[in-house]
Amino acid sequence: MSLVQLKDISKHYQSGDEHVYALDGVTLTIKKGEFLSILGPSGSGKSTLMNVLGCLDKPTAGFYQLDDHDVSSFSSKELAAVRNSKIGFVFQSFNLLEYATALENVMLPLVYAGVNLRKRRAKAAELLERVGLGDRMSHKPNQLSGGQKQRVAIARALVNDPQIILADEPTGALDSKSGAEIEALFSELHHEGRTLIVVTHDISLARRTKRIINIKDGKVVDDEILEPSSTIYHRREGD
Amino acid sequence: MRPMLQQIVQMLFAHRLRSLLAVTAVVWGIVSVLVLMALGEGFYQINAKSFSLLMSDTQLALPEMTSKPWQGLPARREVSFTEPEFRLLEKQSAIKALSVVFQKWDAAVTDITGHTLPGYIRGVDNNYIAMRKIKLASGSRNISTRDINRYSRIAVIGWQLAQQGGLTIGDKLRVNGVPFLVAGITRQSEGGMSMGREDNQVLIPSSTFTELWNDKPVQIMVTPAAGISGVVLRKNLLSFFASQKHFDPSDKRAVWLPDFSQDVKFFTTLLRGIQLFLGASGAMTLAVGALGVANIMFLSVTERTREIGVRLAIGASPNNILVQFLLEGGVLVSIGTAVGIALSYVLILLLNQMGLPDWLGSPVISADAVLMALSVTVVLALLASFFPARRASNLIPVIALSARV
Ligand SMILES: Nc1ncnc2c1ncn2[C@@H]1O[C@H](COP(=O)(O)OP(=O)(O)OP(=O)(O)O)[C@@H](O)[C@H]1O
Ligand SMILES: [Mg+2]
Repeated sequence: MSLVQLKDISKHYQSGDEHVYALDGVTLTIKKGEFLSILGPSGSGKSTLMNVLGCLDKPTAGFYQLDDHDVSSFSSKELAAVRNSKIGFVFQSFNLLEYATALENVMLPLVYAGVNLRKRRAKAAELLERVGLGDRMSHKPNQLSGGQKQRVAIARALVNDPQIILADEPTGALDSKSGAEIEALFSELHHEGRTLIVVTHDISLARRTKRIINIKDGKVVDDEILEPSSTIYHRREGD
Repeated sequence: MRPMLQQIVQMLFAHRLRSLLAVTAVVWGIVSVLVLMALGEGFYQINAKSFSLLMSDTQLALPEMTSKPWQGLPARREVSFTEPEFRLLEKQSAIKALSVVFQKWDAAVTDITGHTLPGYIRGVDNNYIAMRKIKLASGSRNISTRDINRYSRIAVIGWQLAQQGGLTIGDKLRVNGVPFLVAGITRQSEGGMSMGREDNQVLIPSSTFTELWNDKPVQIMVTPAAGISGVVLRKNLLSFFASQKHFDPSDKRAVWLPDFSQDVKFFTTLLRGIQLFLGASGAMTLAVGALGVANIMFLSVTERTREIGVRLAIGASPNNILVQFLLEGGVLVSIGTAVGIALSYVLILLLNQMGLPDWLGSPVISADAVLMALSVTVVLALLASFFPARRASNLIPVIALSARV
């Protein structure tokens, strides 16, 4: 059963006489429960693809179906609802609200979902426990390490039980130890049956995923299912 | 709504300095409006009070001299009435109350030891003090019908005369050698302009007056019945006088019926104008305050573009963002308004306690002023937060998120 269906998605920028195709006819199907990584050189369009998948940006052309909805025709209000209920986004730079505590940050998506305070608090606390930050709930972001901040961000991405979790270089700003913890967390989430899409430069993170998509100049140049992960990956690298 | 407010308070607290500046701008504006308007209102009231007689519908009538010949009679005939002639007016339905006034400028007023006092005499009936809106000091009594019937030798004297002669209630003074008991003293008017020389008068019962002097009344005061305009009343009076004394009913010089309505209109317009000017100056300050809020809100939107991006990314709708920023502006302005109103009351209290010059009156914050300030503020607050809020809500998530702040 396909959760995501992209058909001929393009994203086109024009600045002056210069034309940039950040995405150039991407067609892609992602099934429920997949753990997928997107690789590619800098400027190849990985973030653009993630932003389109996360409904943070609209493609200039193409068709995008998410969970049986044609989201490419959605209004900005409908897209907000999709982002709120179906998508959990994890950023490289965490993007937490600096003046709010860890708990409040995690609760925020539930505020927009209209969940009452008691349930919000319970759910957010549960997820902070889940990512191992049960003792850091009332800390503000500037009192947390990078790895802890990213775990708060992951808890926030999970709090609405999204259909799909998108992470754009989640370990990019972390040291290798914190990065490894985040990787482990993603693997756990995958084993729980969640759908995860990760953009990464980090080979060790990509190695944990079950499918690797390679992008170059806005086009999907390679799409490989890895089974079991590491061996096939190494073979591909040797190409 | 409630979690929203909670967040907003948290947010405003996180940006304490900025919030404080915005609130201060509003407080300053509100205080300007309210204090200036309160000063204007005090000034209006004190002056309106001293002109209360002019502003009331009481009509004076002063017999003078005919200026036109009439039915064979020559012009330039002296016109005068006796008290009973005047009292015939009381039977007219257009007239509610009447007061007949006698006056003697050159009577010898002395204290009991014979020192001359600068007073003059008015013989009045029991209606006079009320119709003239004279306020009496405590312990005073009015001139009553009993006093009139008994030819009492009592006097109600002006406060200035009392001060100069060192007279208090119960003391005696002499008029042409005849002793009178001081039964009342007028209250000093609270600043404003004083009318004529009333503060030096000696009011005695009209019956006592006519016992001393064989004069005719110099004027009457008339209060019209309800619904009778000044114009109609004056016309009525003039035709009554004309038929009694046989003069041309169009001869307005025979009995002078002063019409102050134009002066009153001019005067009240002037006072209200001053007040409006003061209010407008305050409103300008308030508008500048609102600009300050708008400026701070725009700054806030720019500074927090990234945060707006985050909120959009986790599912805030453009409407959520719009409402958030409107509420933020609203909360700032509400706090500013509340503090401003409270501060204005305190300032006015202090001003009144400090003792302002008499001519300024005592400033008061009227409900109208508060209402006006509030409505101006609401409009300004909406304008000040709407445009920044709309800009925030129109942001595209991916662009807002890429803002480097
Ligand atoms: N707002 C924009 N205006 C113009 N061009 C843009 C804009 N955003 C992205 N691009 C261009 O689109 C292309 C794809 O950018 P994108 O951010 O998706 O790359 P990426 O694969 O995520 O790179 P990196 O690995 O460095 O993050 C780049 O050439 C970039 O310059
Ligand atoms: Mg990128």
